[in-house]
Amino acid sequence: MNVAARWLRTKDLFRECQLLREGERDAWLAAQCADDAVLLGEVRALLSAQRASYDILDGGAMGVLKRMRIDESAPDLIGQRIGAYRLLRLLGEGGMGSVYLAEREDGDFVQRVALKRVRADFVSAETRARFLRERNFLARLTHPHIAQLHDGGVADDGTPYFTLEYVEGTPITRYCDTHKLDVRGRLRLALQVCAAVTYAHRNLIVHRDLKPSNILVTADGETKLLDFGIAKLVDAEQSHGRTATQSRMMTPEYAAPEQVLGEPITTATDVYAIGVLVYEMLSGRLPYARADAGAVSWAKAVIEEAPESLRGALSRPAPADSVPAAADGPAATRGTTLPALRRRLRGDLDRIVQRALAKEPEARYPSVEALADDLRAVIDDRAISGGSRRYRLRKFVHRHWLPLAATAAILLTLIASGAAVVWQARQTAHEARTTLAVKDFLFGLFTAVDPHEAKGREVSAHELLDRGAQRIERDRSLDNGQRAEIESTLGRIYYQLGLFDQANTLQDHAIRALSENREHALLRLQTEAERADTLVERGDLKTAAALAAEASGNADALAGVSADKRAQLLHTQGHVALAQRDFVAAKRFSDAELALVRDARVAPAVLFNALSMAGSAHWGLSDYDGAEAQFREALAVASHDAAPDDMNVARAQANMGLILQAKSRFAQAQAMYEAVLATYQKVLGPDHPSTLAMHRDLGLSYYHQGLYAQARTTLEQVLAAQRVKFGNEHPALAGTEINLGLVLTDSGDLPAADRVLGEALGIFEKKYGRDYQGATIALGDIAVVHMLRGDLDRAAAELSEVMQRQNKPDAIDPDGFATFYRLGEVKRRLAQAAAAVELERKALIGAQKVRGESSRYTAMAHHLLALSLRDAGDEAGAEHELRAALASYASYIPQAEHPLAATVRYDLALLLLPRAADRAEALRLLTEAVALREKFLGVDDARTQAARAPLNKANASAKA
Amino acid sequence: MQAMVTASKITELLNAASDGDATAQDAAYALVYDELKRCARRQSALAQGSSLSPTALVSELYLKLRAGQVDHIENRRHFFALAARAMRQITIDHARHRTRAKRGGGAEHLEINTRDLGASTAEQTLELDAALTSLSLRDADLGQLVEWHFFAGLTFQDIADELGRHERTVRHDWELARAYLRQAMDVGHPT
Repeated sequence: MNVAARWLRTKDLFRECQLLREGERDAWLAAQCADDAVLLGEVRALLSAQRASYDILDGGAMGVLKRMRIDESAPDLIGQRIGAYRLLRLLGEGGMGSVYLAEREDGDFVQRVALKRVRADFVSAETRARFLRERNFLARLTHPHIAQLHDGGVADDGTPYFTLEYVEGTPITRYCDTHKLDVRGRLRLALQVCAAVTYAHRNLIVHRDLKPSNILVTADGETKLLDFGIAKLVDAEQSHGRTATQSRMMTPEYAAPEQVLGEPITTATDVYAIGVLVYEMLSGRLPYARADAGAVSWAKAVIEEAPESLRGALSRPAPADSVPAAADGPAATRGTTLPALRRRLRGDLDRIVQRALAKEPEARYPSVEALADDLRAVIDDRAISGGSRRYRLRKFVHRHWLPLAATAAILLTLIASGAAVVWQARQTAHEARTTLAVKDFLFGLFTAVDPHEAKGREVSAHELLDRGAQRIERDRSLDNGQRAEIESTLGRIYYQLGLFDQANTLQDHAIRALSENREHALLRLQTEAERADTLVERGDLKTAAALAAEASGNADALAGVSADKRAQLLHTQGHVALAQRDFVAAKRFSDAELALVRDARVAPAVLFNALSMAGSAHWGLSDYDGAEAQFREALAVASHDAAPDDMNVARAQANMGLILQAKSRFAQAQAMYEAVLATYQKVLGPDHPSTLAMHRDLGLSYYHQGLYAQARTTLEQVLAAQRVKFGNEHPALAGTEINLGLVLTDSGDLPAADRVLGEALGIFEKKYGRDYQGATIALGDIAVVHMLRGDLDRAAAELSEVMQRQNKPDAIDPDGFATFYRLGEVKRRLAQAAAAVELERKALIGAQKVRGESSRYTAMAHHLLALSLRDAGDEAGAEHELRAALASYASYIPQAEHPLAATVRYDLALLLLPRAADRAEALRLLTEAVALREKFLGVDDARTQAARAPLNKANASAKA
Repeated sequence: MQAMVTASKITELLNAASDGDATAQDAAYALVYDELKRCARRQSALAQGSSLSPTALVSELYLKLRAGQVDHIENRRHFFALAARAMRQITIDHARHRTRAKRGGGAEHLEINTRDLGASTAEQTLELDAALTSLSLRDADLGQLVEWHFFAGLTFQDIADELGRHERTVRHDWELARAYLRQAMDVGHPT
């Protein structure tokens, strides 16, 4: 059913339901929509929206004007009585209600209170419920630092109200400045806030809106927490997915990432807000420099930016609207000098706020109390708690379509670097002796093979190693250093053979032995680095990182560590960081490594490894130009004096292909891949996993150029070969299937796409669980197929799941913006144009940021934004975006010759066709669209015919 | 008195418009807009309910048009569309003005931030406007119904008479339109 037909059906069903009693509707509807869950969902949603009250829709335009007038001035109540109170003046007001200063005369005693009431008119059930909830919350709380509830009641006109302790005070940040409190004094005030919030948390109430204007300090220096207006009970309600109301009520500057993203709110949300508060109290600024300067929105900064260090915040230019006291400079208002303040805010305080401001709730302090403990420690000059995990900036760094191919390429880079461990330390006499002993030992391994035992077959390296590992335990002729060196060497070989468990055991053993003897410090460093590499392969990244850092620290403490040894340590740290997907750290290490190896004269292989890693780090940071420069140099280094079919050349070419693909230069990527594939087929054989992976990447580059038939054939070949080699449940298959799924989706074979993507999801899910990145990608692709098949609710649910997973703290967010534009498209098809526009705008910003203007992702984002703008009635905007989409395609594909660009032309033509002035252009676009679809999709394809129809019609009417 | 003059003027212009005078329609719109705006302002200056409301004005004008010379369906519908458009414009302008004023205003001295008290009517009004635009694209008839009922203030009976339909049908359509708008204004809800 198309959109229009579906809407007619929805309308009919809705009307008929009006004639039924509430109780009868559901069963009747279910029967009517037996085979169409989407339709059922749509009608149900409308019926439930019908039941919901919405103040503004029920009073007509006059009602709206009247309400705006009341918003403007609600003076009419001043002086009037509500219950026992007389209203004195308005303290604040908004769409839902107002807060007044009121007083109650009780004999001689006059009591002043803050009186909060909902508006007399237009009170919806929801507003009322929210209001009463706040009253109930406050009734549970009695704490010296929380404004106390006095009483509540119902006014004569039937509206509920309640009264609170009236706090005559100043917002906490301003109080600090006007009283020139020093850092300690500020921390003590923050501790009062922590105490109040901890108390609320113990009563299972999360405040959700902590900010200076809600925290006043009285003349006595006591803080008072106000406004539990949007507080909620911990876990009392399913808070996943915020309501529009909540989102409007958030204060973006103090909102935690989970509030912005609509994720579940917990006590950690308040920890974050206190983090912002403390940050502001200490530095006078808010945590995100770029948002503070107006360069990005707060919501965006909250999700994507790292908080600036407190010291950094001190050096920001003063805000234009700073209060007079603060304008003296942050140091003056803190009774100190700027250098002293900088020193004070460095270290522990910075660590505390950074931890409180962690993006992932789990990475923050586990409770407000724990945060308070650390603040107290700073006041008392004690050490703060350990455990502060460094927050890693989550970024949308991954390409969507190629995550698996990309991972493979990175692995290649890394294996290359592992294989080329080059040690060129000057050898001491002792080391020379040890090396000799090791050589003897290894030689002994080979010569000891009993010909009878081997019975003519080749003895594998694996067997030799196992033999060696057994022998070394028995060999009494070796001293500890020699034994350790052999263990270390055997460990390295095991590593290269991919036998990581054995490598780990030997390396661990060697390190233990070596740590007893300072003489072997260098060997120990080397082994530590190598074990870190092993641990990465075993997936134990945490230990790997610690070990690599330890080795590096030891190297710093040691005199005379050669440049290339230090380079290798940096390489290992970079390797770990890449595996952790911490590309910022990886770049730091690889920059340092490159600086070292460029300075020192090292073997080309070492430089090659350093460059490859630097390229990968830049790639991970989406700096594709930087990555390309590094990979190009790596290719040049490898190609210098290289024999034909050199593997390092091929690896460098594979990396280049990756980057060209990322930069949407698909024809060039294709040429690179063809070269690599030729080498791999010769050197590794046609069925080697790396050959197959390369073959797959080649297929993908066909896909990106719109050559769907070629792409399909190639990928199906790869898949068949992988099935033979790995069986039906290997993850490599799933990777190919995801790529094949894309091809099938775009070439219109949806049932086949559904099938292969489903199989991919099944494989990943079974092997790694549904949370695995690959499973998330498969699910996102499946959602697109479901969307195209008209199963919109299902698609929306799947994409929500994808988004939810991408927002998880340990997720890698491979396709953050793609999920936005996909969900936007689903919303558009659900006729929620406004929501669609919002999502598509987000997607476009993300795509432009990560990919730049000249890329298929950005082009697609422009296109989808155009469609939703069109549906929202903004024709001019739609036209603008369609032209931008076309320009984006044209910027990387000559003449924008691509099936997706044909669709853009088609949509633009239909938009222009009704306008007499643009008719000629519309016809030209249609003609091009038909030609392109004929070329890429075939003459008989339904889409080709669809484009031909309006063209024929227009031509016919022109003749007539 | 004023309304009488306006009514006859509008009648004149609408007749001219239906005879093909393109500028006449713009002039009619301008007239309706001004009249409604004056009316809305007058009303907010006086105590509640004591003056003629813009919607009352629309029905008064309408009655005059109906009783008068232009009992031409096209023209009457033109008038409703005109009145609704004018009223929508007035409401939205006001809302824009309000949100701008609110953003620009110094909240520094306020003990309690207005944000805590919910989205303002003005913000909701702008959302409503966007939702209505999307509804009209989806279903022009329902869009018109909202304009006539919500903005021009016509009763369901008026609309039913005008369209030659059952009042109950119009009411059900309104329910549907309202539910749609309600849903569209809740952008933050995941589906």
